[in-house]
Amino acid sequence: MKNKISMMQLFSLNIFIIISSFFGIGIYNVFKSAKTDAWISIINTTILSFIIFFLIIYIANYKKNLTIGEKVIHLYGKKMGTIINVLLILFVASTSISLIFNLGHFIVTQFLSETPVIAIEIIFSIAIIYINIKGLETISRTSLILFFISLIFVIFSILGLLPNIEINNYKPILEFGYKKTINGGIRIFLLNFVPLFLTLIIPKNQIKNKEKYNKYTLLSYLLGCIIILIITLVTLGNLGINLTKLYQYPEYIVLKRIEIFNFIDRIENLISMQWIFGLFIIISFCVYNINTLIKPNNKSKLLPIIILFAITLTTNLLFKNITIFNYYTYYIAPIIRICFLILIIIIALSIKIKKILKS
Amino acid sequence: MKKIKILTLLIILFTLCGCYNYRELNELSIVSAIGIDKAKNGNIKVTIQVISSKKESSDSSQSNTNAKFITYESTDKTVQEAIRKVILSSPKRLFATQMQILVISEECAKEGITKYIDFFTRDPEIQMKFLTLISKNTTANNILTTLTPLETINSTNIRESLKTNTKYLGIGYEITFEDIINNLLNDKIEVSIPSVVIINENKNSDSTKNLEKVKNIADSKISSIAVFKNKKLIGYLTEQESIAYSFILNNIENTIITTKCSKNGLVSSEITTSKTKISNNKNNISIKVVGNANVNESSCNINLNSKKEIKKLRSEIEKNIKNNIKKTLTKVQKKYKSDIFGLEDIIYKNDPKYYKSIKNWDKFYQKINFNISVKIETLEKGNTLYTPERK
Amino acid sequence: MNKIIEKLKTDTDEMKDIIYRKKIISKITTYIVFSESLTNSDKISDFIIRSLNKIKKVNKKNILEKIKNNISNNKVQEITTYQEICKYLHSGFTIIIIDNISTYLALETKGDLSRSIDKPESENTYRGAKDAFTEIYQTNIGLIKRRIKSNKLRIKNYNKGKYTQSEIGVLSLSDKVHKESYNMILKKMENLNIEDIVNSGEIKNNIEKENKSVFPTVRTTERPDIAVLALLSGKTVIVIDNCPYVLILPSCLNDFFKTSEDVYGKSINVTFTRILKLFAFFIALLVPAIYIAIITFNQEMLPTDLLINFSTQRDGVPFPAFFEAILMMICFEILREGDLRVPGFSGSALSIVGALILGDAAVNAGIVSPIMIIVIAITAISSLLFTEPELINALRIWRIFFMIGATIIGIIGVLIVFLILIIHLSSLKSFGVPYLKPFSPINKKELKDSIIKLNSTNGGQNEKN
Repeated sequence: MKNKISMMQLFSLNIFIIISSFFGIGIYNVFKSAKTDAWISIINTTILSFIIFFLIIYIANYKKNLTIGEKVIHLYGKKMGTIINVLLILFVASTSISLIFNLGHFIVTQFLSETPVIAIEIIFSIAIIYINIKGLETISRTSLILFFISLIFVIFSILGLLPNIEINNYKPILEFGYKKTINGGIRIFLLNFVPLFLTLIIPKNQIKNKEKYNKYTLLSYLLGCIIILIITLVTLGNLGINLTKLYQYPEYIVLKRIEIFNFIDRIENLISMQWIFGLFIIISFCVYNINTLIKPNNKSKLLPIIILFAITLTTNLLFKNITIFNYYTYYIAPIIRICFLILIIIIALSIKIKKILKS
Repeated sequence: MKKIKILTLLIILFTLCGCYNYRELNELSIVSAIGIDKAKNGNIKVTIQVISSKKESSDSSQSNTNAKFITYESTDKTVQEAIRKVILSSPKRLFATQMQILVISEECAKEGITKYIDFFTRDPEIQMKFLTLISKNTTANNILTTLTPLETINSTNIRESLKTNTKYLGIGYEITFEDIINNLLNDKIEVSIPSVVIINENKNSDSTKNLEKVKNIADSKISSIAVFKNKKLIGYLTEQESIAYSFILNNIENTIITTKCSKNGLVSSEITTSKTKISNNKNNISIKVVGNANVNESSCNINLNSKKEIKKLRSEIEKNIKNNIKKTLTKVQKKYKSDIFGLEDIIYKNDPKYYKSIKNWDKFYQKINFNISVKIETLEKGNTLYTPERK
Repeated sequence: MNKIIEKLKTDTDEMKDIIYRKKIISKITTYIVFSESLTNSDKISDFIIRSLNKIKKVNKKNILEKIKNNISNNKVQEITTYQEICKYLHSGFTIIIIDNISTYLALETKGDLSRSIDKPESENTYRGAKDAFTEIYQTNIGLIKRRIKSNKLRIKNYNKGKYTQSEIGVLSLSDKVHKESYNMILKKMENLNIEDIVNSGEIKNNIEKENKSVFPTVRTTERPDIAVLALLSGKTVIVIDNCPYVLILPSCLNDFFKTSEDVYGKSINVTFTRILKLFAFFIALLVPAIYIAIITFNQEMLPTDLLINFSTQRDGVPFPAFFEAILMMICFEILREGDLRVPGFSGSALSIVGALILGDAAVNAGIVSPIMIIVIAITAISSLLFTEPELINALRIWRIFFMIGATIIGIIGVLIVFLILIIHLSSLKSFGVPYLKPFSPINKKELKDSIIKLNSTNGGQNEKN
């Protein structure tokens, strides 16, 4: 294949998938279900993420030169395969509508209070369409550069917030027993980790140093979990449980408390750019996903525009305000993700059956 | 074809997103402080202090007799309506992100504080980093309209004096609005806010004639902590008790303790570091204070070279702090019956099972025993170890 | 008279510049044709005519061989067609045309028409070799060959241009060069279809046609030591006749940040200078846009005292911030362009001072605010830190994009244009090499020399690509 991407770029894409769904959506849900034990939920999630690791490695190793859409058609034949592909497209679209809404809503409520959301979405659409026209190589390279910038910001903000942590904010520990932490853990797993199946769209042959695939993928999952864990700990330690449940974006509010050397403050606008970068990359990756599922090796420039237009329209029709959105992510989205997970398990089982039938 | 595409893109850009949030600096007036009072007929009077940014003329031969800030006043049924009505007289739009302090008058606080501060939690532009104060024995309007010496803007004066107070004296400490919201949301602690008074109030306190004097200038002064119960103001602590309050909440950075060293002699020592730990064991709360002190002034002959004298000095300071803390705790527990130190929260956090077995917190609060232990080390850092001989 | 001489005379319209010297050697007529302005007359009289005088006793069959053996010129070539006669005649060669023989001789007698090897004028350095390329092709090749004394230096020659027939040489070190880009470059050179080449810029633009971005993918330099460093790190160098600027391709963004003095300094100092250059790059791009965004949309990002100062300064200014910025930028660009025409390249400091004085007068008249002058001055000075003029022009255009983005929606607009810039740079390929080379496909060895300099002995070169 001509455009090869390297394993580091896939690494950064994985981490962005894990982190970007956490902002606003994930953190709200985990605190709603687990209260002060949110960080224990995230440790549970880390254990659950091994399921995804094994599934992805198994599916990626089968027929290394096909994307997942082509693998499905290969397994089930054309008619059944197209139906399953349509289901996959719906799942990817459901991931991206919540991300687009999150992006627009964050910017409108925190930065510019009088602009309508549609204007922000149109402006971001320009950048998303531009990167999709250039192809997968550009997406992966850009994500690597943005990953470095985001990493610097994360480390900076953690260092700025560590001195202000109060241990009292973490108590009482395990007040309601283990049940709630498992509940929170499963929610975060479904919201943040199941979208990792989006990376199956990249056939293994397109990666340069594919012998390191296992090692780097596992590393990326662990690093993503560590970053989420630290963000939760730092947010909870600084604000306390009451304020964290009050705000929609507590990670943004906690950044307002950074004060370094007594004069660097008010940098929350600068550091929050890491989330905007992450959301942007993942939305463009979702659009690339749908683009490749519909037509592999597609060179037309019109299809991404249509896809993006359709997704934005759906977002604006479905989510009118934040209450409906919170209801969606708390009750409806986990169900959709469970169906996605079941579908992927079915695909993996079919691969195994086919291998057994062959031999 | 390509150029047409780019052109349409640009046209969409410029028409759709046409500068919704665009605000030039000239059209903004920067709010530095807001004060809330009660007016007649249940209305609310709002005083807004705005920094005036007029350009000075380039020849600075004429002395600048204009004040650097102005106040707008407006009265209406709710805080939001009153603030919005200010634009009837102000030529610029109010910009409140840089707000430094919020002053609430005593009468409003006695009624219940939540009604007046709800507006500030919902506005997206206001960032909750500003400090809150209660105006004691006076109205918020008076405090915000006093021209202060040494700082051109009134609110900077109040904010800086509160900050230096936290650093060096410890009568209360600076409480941001976010902390107050945190305490209000948490039903296991009561709110407590520092207060501010005016000294030397005279007719001319709101004009520059005030600044032309050398003494008896009207100024604002930070005073003791106000105690709330059920979100209503019920009383104040004294200054010494406010120092003890800061000790209990582990917020002392530096303060002065005066003790007796002989029949007529007093020693003033400076506490340089201090750390407090509160822990509980069923209904016994134990408070441990550990710190360092330094002798700054003494009017009797003390010899800092002898171990016996140092021991005596240390025990005097420890006794002083311990008594002060005990007095404050008892006063708050018995007289005000309000839990401003968050003891309920501490018991809940350390021992949730025991907390569940408490049925009525108010009764339980009266039965709490306090066990206070203070340990102070003196560091002999002064320039002199002996006192100059007094004969 | 000879048919060819007649044809030449009619073709050139009997130009006085071309001299036809008739000489009879043993009753055979020979013509010595040369162009007076291009040749060195000493060489012709000393070597050619004198040695022709010594030839006696020849006949038609061996006159060619005898002339070839006895002539004391260093370069003798046999040519057979009329076009070649014209080509060599116009390149400064002397042609010997013998009656009734259809093979002609061309002898090299080029005159020295250029200036001597001088100091480089546009790229200053305080430590390092101070010779620069000149306009003559052979001298330039010689300056490079003096530094690389190896058999592996390959030079491929081309002659392009209908009227100019310029000589172009593509140099590379055969065991170090990046094969993919080298083949791409050779293919492009063969398909080059240019009318005329007066300057290396025309070849540069033609080769770069695929690259539609404003960022340069080809470096030009006047100094042989930079060209040699580039050759040693596996790049290709194109030398063109009559132009003292050679082209170095492929070039990535990182190469514009390096200078040849990096080899001299200690690692820490070089790291510091490079970090400074990186800051200057971002300052030159972002500062006016961030200023506009903060003043008009995101005033909450400033500390209170600064905000009061700004708003006092902008009190009487009638124009919106974007218009002020564009006005000052245009003034500065006019000053910079005018300064290039002033003789002597050290006028840039003068122009900055001029801009400041102009700015001061504008502030007093109340047209702009003082902060805007400082912002534009810092931007302009930062952009002058780079040696490649194409990069400075690219920064200028992107700066305008950033300012437009800031005017529309403030700091989010700056962010989106930044994203578009990164996407744009990530998708650029300079002859097969990704533009953001050490960062985007991560190459640990090259990272050691990119912003920070970790290997102190290797001086800007890589062992393998």
